[in-house]
Amino acid sequence: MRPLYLRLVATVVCAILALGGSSAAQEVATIQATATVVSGLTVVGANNLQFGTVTPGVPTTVDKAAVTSAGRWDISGTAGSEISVTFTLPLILDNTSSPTSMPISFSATDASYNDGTGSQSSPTGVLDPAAPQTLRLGTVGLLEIFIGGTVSPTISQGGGDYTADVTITVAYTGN
Amino acid sequence: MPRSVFRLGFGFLMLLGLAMTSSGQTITTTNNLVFGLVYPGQPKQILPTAVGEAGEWLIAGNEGDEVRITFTTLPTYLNLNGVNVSVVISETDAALDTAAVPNQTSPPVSGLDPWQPIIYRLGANGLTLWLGGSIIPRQAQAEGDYSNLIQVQVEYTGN
Amino acid sequence: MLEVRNNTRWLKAAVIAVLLLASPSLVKAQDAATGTATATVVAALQVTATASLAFGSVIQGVPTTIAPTSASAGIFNIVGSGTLEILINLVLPEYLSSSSGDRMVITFAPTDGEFEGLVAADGTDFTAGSTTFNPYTTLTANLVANSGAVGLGGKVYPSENQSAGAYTADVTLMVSYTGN
Repeated sequence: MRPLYLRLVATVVCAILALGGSSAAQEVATIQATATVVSGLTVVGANNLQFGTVTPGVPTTVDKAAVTSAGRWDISGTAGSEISVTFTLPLILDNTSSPTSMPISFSATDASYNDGTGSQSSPTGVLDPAAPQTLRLGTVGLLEIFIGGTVSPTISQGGGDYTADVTITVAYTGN
Repeated sequence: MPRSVFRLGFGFLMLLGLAMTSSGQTITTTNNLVFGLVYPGQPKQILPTAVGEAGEWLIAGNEGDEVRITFTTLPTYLNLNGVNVSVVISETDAALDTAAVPNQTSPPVSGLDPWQPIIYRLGANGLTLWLGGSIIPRQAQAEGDYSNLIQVQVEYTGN
Repeated sequence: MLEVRNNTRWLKAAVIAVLLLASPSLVKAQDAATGTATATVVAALQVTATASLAFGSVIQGVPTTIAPTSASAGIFNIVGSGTLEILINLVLPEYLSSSSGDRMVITFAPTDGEFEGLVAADGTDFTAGSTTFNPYTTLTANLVANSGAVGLGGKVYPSENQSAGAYTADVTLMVSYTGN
């Protein structure tokens, strides 16, 4: 419900009583301009995409529906608002202790979302993380994004921990 | 002999009477004092030089006759159904011209006080008299057509 | 004896003639005329704040526009006299403010003012015959059948970090007769 404030201000300006004066009696009224700024759009990285221990030469996939290992972001904002979601996907994971890297890839069905009408195992829809997406926040202003992927350690992949950042950018579209 | 003198005296008096009867003045209103549209809270002045707006009277009579012009009724307000709007007629709001073609925009005799008798001699075409005034409507002045009377009297002074 | 009576008659006649001469009503030595002073007081102008300029819900970082002919436009209604000319002057805000003191910029385009000689409930009542004007400037226009309506649109620019909540500002309209 839009707030609608009506205020009528009538101010009568006293005329200058000099004969032949040109100041005319004025009438004045005031309306308001009103706007309600909706709550900010926030996105939180809720769960990392964790491949765990992988074996050199053996590609390892994490499915987006895997509750503890799939990546998850929680988005909150104004209920029902349309948002744009853009993924920035890494091509490699970097070794934290040596200058080696491991390829990572994402398929066209490696992301999904839940606007409250589904769950991680049965999401509202499937997304291609390589393409910009337009989604709508749920009825309580929440949206979950899930992501899986595949890492491909080489036969001679050095041991150690490998990491990379997966980023999503969200914004209200105004629609 | 005395009889003849009386008859002659009477005849002479009668002739004078006839001559005076034919030299009466007439005064005619040729324009009302028209303030026109006025706006609540905005005073408006009509100068006696305002053609078509100032009050105008035409006095006809013999050239050279001295007349006394008296505004017997000058309004201090105009009226509409019991509501009044103030009118101020100042002591310089009258003007006149005795020329055959009167010049209202630049009258030779101006700044006259209409609240006092004006004494002047008629010209070849009599005398034209003008009256201005100011109206002061209140902020809350009700809309409508207001009016009031102005009465002017002219009389021969005998000079 | 006859002569004396004749003299008396003439004397009386002379006296009567003098008396007649002294009586003003027979000689027409004065005249009077009556004129009138008239004035027409026009109806005082009245202006009513009919509708707020309501942007509704706006989103951080997303500028929002309201057209002066839309249902959410600000509306003033003017009542005056006949088809007299009026001068319209809007006092426009530079920003809307929230109760916590935050500000949001508002601007008005040269096409954000509408005027038409009618009574408007909202901006959709303006017809193709309305006059578009720059609300930052004054407008001289004529009433039609005692009425005139002013519509106002605008554009707000919530910043990316604009705090949530209700924002308002006053828009004031001043109108006067020009005398034309």
